Amino acid sequence: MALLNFLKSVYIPENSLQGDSFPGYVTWDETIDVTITIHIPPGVVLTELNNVPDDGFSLHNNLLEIKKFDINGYIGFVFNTEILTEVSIIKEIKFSIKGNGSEIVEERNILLFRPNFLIKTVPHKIVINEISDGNYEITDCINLANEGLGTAIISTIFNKDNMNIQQLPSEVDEFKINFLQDFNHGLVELKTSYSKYSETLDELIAMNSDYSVVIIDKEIMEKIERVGGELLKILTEDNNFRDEFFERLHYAYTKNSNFFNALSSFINYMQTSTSQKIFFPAATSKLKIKKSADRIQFQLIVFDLAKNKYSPLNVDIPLKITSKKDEILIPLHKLFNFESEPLLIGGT
Amino acid sequence: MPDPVLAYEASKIVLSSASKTVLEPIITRLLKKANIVSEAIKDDFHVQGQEVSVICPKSIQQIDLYFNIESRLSTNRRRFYGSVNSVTLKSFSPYEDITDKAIVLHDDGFEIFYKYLDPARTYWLKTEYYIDNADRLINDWIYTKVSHESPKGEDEIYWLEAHFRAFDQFKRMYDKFELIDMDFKVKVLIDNHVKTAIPKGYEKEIQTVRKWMRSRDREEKARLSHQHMQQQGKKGSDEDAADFIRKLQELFTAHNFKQFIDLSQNFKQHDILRGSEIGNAVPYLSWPEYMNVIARTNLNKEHRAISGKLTYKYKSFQDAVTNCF
Repeated sequence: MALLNFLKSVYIPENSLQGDSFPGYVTWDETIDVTITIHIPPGVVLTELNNVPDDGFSLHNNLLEIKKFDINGYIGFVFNTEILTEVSIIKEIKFSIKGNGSEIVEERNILLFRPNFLIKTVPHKIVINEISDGNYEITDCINLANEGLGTAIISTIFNKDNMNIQQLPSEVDEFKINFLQDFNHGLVELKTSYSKYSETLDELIAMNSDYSVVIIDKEIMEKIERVGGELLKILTEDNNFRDEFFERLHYAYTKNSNFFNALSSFINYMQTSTSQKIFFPAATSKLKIKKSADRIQFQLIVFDLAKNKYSPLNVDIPLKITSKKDEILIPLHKLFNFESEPLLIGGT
Repeated sequence: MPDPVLAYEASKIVLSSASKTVLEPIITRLLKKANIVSEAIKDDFHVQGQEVSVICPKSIQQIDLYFNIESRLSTNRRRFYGSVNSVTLKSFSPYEDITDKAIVLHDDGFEIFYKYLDPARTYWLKTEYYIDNADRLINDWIYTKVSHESPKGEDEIYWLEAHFRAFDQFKRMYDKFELIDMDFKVKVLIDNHVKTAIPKGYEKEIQTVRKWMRSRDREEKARLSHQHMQQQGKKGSDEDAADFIRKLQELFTAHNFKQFIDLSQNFKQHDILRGSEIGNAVPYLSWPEYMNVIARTNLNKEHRAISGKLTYKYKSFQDAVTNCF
């Protein structure tokens, strides 16, 4: 779109996750004095105004008018959005820029989207039959789907004494424990040569020691993002550290890896995500259920990539187990079917 | 009386004055360092131009002064105080680096010996100072954001944006001010594309291989071998699972993955690091759910706000995954 005369650019991104912030700016010829009016649509809130003095603007009924600027030529915005009833919606932000005796009107559309994670169907009853030692057939599945445009990260909470998440798949778990122990040993060595990074390395070591996390919550996501971000920055900027870090990572991996767990971890990788933008990090964890349990009850917790938490989904279904054992272990993903994802039912 | 609801909304807006309150003491310290050199130089020389840059990855403030000798010098050397990282002094027409003979570094600053300067030449003095808490300064000073993901069904495009929260301090004092190589970390989600690029039959096949390796029952092994042979026939490939896994892992290296990334003008690709699994901070040598793409850009007087796009060519990536068979 050609911008006439004094106006250089009007920017709003084309899309944003709902419940997240997004930026915007307007730039113009700094020799021209301008007044800018912005119509902010419902569901969008202005949270930050940059390069504007305290008395340089007014906001009435979602109409923002800016008349003064610290320096002429640009203004920056930050908007926030609510989680909307609509799974995806296009909002129009209208800019009117008056200057040099003329008015330029520019409209920018932004798609606000989110995941829409649903339990599509629930069986009347789940029957688990032991077909051979340690192998179980599950008669019916809970059908799940993400009908939104954003990624859903899901985890499960089982509150009952008679069932709980037991462990990761044994071969992946064993590999991971041994790998992380050896890698942590390498990180402790690194600390002696790179004491300036000891704070980040200590946090990594602590996180690696807690390898059994299967429930994702906001606090964990924020910590992972923070520590991961600090690590990434160091790896990007310090080539010597980067070489030594990956040397130790590689050593820990090759020491503990073999073809079998490489294959297992790949299958695990395929089963913890779906083509419907669903991450299910604990999908291949084992669920331990007492044979006497007659109901399967749990909560599905859903987050998006902006760390917004959605209302938990409750599941409560009658259960019947046929087994010679008092307790059984089944891969968690076997309880679920993701629509159009028949392969997820495969596995161990 | 203002509408209480609107007054509440307005009070929640973060304004430039708040940013400036945080930034003022830090920027004042930066400018003081720059002024130590520029003001002292002005006493002896004619300053033709001065530039200030912040080199973000190195946490360095760089001050460039361009000057020539206006009249007879009153002294034969001058001392500049302040802990400096490096100093270089070069002349133009003819070009000559006279740092080694004209500059002496001290613990608390540096010294220029004037006897090596020629009145007929123009000089470029470059000084570099370390910035304490540079990350915090940049975070407070610049708003940056990249999109978390691209909506399903669209092309895989991530947006990047940055703008100064405040700029007027530098506008007043320098001909040129620049923030160099600001990092943008884009998490490019890939696992979904790996999964959908792998033929369903092949996933079943490697599950069979794994079951075969784990089984200790002779009859079950025989049954799984037969099943595996049938599955291989369906796939029509001679490659085995080990080759596939090796080839797929190689796709996640920076060297190979960069071909699937395009950045718009004003941004350059600096680095690519394999990401990790959701729920882990460590980039394991297993299977990344995303790749970390580090893009860089500059902000300056001409570009106080900047935006761009990262295009992830996922169809080409999926073709490459399929070609691993």
